[in-house]
Formats: sequence, structure tokens, C-alpha cells
Amino acid sequence: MGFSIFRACMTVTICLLLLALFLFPSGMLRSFADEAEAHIRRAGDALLQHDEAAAERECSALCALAQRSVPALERFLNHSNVTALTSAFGIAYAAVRIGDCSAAYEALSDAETALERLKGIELFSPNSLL
Amino acid sequence: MLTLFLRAVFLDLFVLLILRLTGKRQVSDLQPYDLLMTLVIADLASTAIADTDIPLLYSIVPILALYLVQQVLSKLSLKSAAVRRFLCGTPQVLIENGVMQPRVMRRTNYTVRDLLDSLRSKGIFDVGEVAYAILETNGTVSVLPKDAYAQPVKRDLKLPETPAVPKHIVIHEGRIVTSGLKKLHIDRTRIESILNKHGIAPKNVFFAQMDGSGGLHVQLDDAHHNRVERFHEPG
Repeated sequence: MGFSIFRACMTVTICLLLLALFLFPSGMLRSFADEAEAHIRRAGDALLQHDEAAAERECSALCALAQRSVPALERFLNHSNVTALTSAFGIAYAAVRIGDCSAAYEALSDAETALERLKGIELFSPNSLL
Repeated sequence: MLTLFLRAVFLDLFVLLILRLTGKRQVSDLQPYDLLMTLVIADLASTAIADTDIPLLYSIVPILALYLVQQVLSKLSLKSAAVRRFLCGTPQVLIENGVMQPRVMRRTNYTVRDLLDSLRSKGIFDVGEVAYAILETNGTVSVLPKDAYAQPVKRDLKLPETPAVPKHIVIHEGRIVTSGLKKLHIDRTRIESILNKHGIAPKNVFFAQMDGSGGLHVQLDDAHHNRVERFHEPG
């Protein structure tokens, strides 16, 4: 009887834990991705307009965002995918600082791809299911 | 390296907890689905143990999902015979009145050799002695011998019947096992006084087992040449 109650309690706890895992990590990734995408878009636009100062500001913001969010993201995302994203941010920032706009643009496009991959893994969609 | 070690310890304890929660017994008692689930859980756990690039949650979430599915299916199969039949199958009669059932054997992929192996492991060397051999859903074969070959029991021999009483461990490696005493509704002074009466100190006992009627089986330790004593101390 005691063990049945324990099992029932554990099953309820597991259900709640899974529910939390379905909601919180995806919410965290969604807000991170929204913020990162906004910075990437603005940095890309700035590069196209040859506004390197603005591009540098945005890339710096991207690096700061990554530094802030990586420990939490690595708790539920494949570490190599997270590393690919943060290195793309870092490369973009370094390229902007040395004035290599095409390399910076390429790195931002890599970051966008890495971000899409992370979203594809964690955020539920029929495509990611299959 | 410490990370790998700690991940392995954590996942091992986690898998142990999940397997205990599934309430399964030894491997030979598992239904095919339960066995499959156990193997998949082991594989999922080992993936995250070895690869530190993968967060532990990549193993934990699928294991929890399998556990929940298993719990739901267990509950459904308890409630519905149809679900139970679908999940576990139905027992199949392989031998009926000494005659093998080739159609059933083909359907269940059970060869004559397999069947003879199973019969021999149960001490039966002649198919003709078997009234029924049934392939159970967990893959074991239950055998009912024909009446003429069945072992006689006390009732057949008209011997006096004694009530079956379970035995409980009361001393293990010199230590009194209080859980065993509780089941027998006696206290440690009772067991100590029985042993003292026979000149045995509890610390010299390797193993002692007692039943509710006062039957006591005592095996002394190595220093006393593993001597075995049997006493009957009712009351």
C-alpha cells in the first residue's frame, strides 16, 4: 500500500515535471531567439547600409545576450549546437570590429541558421516531430 | 572526468528509481513489451552518460515518457481484457493430450526442439506424458502432466496434512533481524532465550530461520564449523 502511494505521488510529480519541461525551456528559447533574431536583423541591415558602428553595437549586444543565456540554454539544448551559435555571434562581432563586413554578414547568416536549428529541436512543430 | 562520473551515478540512480517504480520483477517474468522498455531505457541512459555534449534532460525526458506510457498501458490492461490481449497476447496450447499442435507451433514460431527443451527442463522426457503444455505470454512453457504421470501429493497418499507456515529470517551473520521477529510476533529476548537454552550465543549464529509454530533452523558461523541445529520451541 505504501509503495503504491509512493508510486502514485511519483507519477503525478513526473507529469508535473514533464509539463514544466514542455513549457519553460521552450519559452526561454523563444524569448532568446526573438531577441537574438531582432539583433541579427538590425546588424544585417546596418551592414547593408555600411553603418559599421550600429552593426558593432548589435553584434556586441548579441555576444552579451549569448553570455547571459548560454548556461540556461545548455541545460536543455545540445551543447555543440549552442556553441555553434555563440561562435557565430563571436565571429560576426570580431569581423565587424576589423571592418570585414562580408565575413560579418556571413557569420550572422550562420548564426541565423544555428538559431533555426535550435528552434527546430526544441520548439514543437509537425516538421520537428517527423 | 568527474563530470562523467557524476553523470553516470546520477543516471544510474535515476534508472534504478524508474525501474523500481515500474514494479517489474526479474527479466524472465517480463512481458516482451516490458523487456523492450527496459532495454530502451538502458540505451537512453547510456547515451547521455557517455556524451557530455548532450544535456541530461535528453535522456531524462524520453525515459519519463516511456515510464508514463508504460503506466498508462499497465492501468489499461488491468481494466480491459482486450487491451491485455493486445499487449501481452494469449497463452497458446502447444501440446494437448500428448499431441503436439503444429499449427499453433508454426503461429508462435515454436520449434519441436524448443518444446522438447522446455519439457526436459521440467523433468519430462516423453511428450506422451504431457496432458497440456501451454506457452505463456511471457514466453515460458507451463506443463500439466497426464494424471498417470503426475507426482502424488500428501492427499493422494492419505498422509496427515500440516498447515504451511512461512519461515522468517531471525538472525543474519550474528545480528538479530527485528523485521523477522515482528512478522513472528516475538521479541529478541524470546529468540535469545531459546538459543541460550541450547548453549548458543546469537553472535555465533550465521543464519537462523523460524516459523510461526516455533520451528527454528540455526546454522552456526565458520568458527563453529557451520554446524546446523534444528529446534522446536512452540509458544
